Amino acid sequence: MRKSELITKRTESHEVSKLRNIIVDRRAQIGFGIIIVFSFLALTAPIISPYSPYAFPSPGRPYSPPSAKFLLGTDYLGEDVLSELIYGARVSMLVGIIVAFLATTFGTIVGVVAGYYGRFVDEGLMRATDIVLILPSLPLMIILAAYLGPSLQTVIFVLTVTTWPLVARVVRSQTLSLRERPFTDSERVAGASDFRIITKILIPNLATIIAANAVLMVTTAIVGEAGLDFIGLGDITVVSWGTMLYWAQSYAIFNGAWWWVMAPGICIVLVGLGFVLISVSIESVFNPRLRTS
Amino acid sequence: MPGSPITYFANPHIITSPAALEALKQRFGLDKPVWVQFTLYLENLFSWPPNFGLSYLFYPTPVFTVIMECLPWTLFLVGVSTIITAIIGILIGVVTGSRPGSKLDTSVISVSMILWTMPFFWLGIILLWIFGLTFHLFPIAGAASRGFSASNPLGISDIPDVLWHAFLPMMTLVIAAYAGYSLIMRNTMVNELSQDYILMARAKGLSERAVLLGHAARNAMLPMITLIGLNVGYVVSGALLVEIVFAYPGLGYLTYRAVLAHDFPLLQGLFFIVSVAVVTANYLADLTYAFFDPRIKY
Repeated sequence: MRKSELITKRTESHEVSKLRNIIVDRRAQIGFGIIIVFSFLALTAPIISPYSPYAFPSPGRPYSPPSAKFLLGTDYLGEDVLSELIYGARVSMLVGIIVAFLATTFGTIVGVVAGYYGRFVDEGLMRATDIVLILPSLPLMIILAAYLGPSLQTVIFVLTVTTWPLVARVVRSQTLSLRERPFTDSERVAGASDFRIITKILIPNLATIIAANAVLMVTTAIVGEAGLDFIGLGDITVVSWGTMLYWAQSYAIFNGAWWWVMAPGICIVLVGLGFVLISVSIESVFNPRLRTS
Repeated sequence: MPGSPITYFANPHIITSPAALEALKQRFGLDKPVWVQFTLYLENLFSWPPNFGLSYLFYPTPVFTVIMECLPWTLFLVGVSTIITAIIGILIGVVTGSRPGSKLDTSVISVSMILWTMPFFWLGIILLWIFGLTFHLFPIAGAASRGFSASNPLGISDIPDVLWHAFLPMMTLVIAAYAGYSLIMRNTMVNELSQDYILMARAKGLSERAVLLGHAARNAMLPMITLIGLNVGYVVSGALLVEIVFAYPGLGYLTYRAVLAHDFPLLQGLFFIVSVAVVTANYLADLTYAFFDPRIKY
């Protein structure tokens, strides 16, 4: 018991030094930079946005190109595109983070339980995971969203349902190898309960791979949310990057309002890239094989 | 799922008489217990042609007929773009993987990652705008210039026109999806090149070209087969969105119209057919893998 605690402690201090490696990693710096900027925009939206995106009557004339008054121009109603972007960051970041949290939590529980208990528990849980994993995600999202009705909750639910199997698969395969390690055995011999082994040994050792996946999941969720909004399955009365593109698809291109189409897309790519960079950095710091010259 | 099919099919504000509602329920078999309804559903599913019911949007055409008319376009789009994507992705992966850490490698990886996070539909809108609306190089909608139907099918003389219409949607799919292949191919190449048999091949005095293509790339290709199978679902999802942008008459555009029209039988049928297609593609990829790698036996 004491010996295994020593081992756990040593891996922890090891992890701390790795955290330092992430902070000095160039990719992580760019990624964190992007995310911090967009989080700031999302949190302070009512204070820093020049207009309200729901202003009625609208502040400008429809389809005004970018100018000093409207830095990114206006849309078909004359609403300020920059303000819509800032408010849209709220929806995208919120949905992205909530979905990543829910999908990671659920996927981790399924993956750890399947990997740790093995045999028929593993069989049952993994077959269920495979079924969801192999179904094409967008049609599944569309049919769920169509039945549940358009709303933000629907989007979050639908994205969570379609993304958790990815986490479960990864976590299960790592658990299978951790289960056979000596430090797990010593804990078991010392009489630790299954719950203790899972929470004190398995989860801490899985932490990095879970974190890398969770961060990547945010990107998946943000792009997925934009896609659902774009088809009109989100709440089209709420301003988000996806609903901006939903309206722009019908009105912008035939009126030459390029600023209205470019802005939300570039934001999605930037935020997506930010989370991908952080995820790649976490993975490469903890998995030296990826760093081969 | 909220409500019963009756509330979608017959507006309760119009049909108020309980007797009429009861008649509708009997007509659709909704008065029977759920398990009887489910066996009926399965029975209809496994008959030929499969009976998914009638589409609301194209009433009274059966859902199966509607889907079969659009299926070839999506198969064409997904099939051809998957082949192009895999070839381009593997080539880029071989080139970058053989020079890991070089300037070429890092710049290609950066561009790939940006394209990889780009939403399919946004890329489609941009390409449509530049090449379709601004330079008028490609059509902005549809799959062919002239009208066509089952009685007036497209012929061999229409092939250039069909390819011209499919160019932009396919380019969108290729640009947005190639990175998935190239990034993994690169990592597998790096891994293979550090193996002992590569050292052996170099020691034998083989040319660098033979070492890279004949030895490393051949082995690195194996995981690609599984990836192509797994990616089919991803590409199908992308194709559905791209079809909406280009008003391409495949399953994606049909799904979009079904969503707008609340055509639930059509949506259910679409989901079923697309799922069957994706599962079949994965199964074929597994079989192909066993063919190329004799260590795998099923």
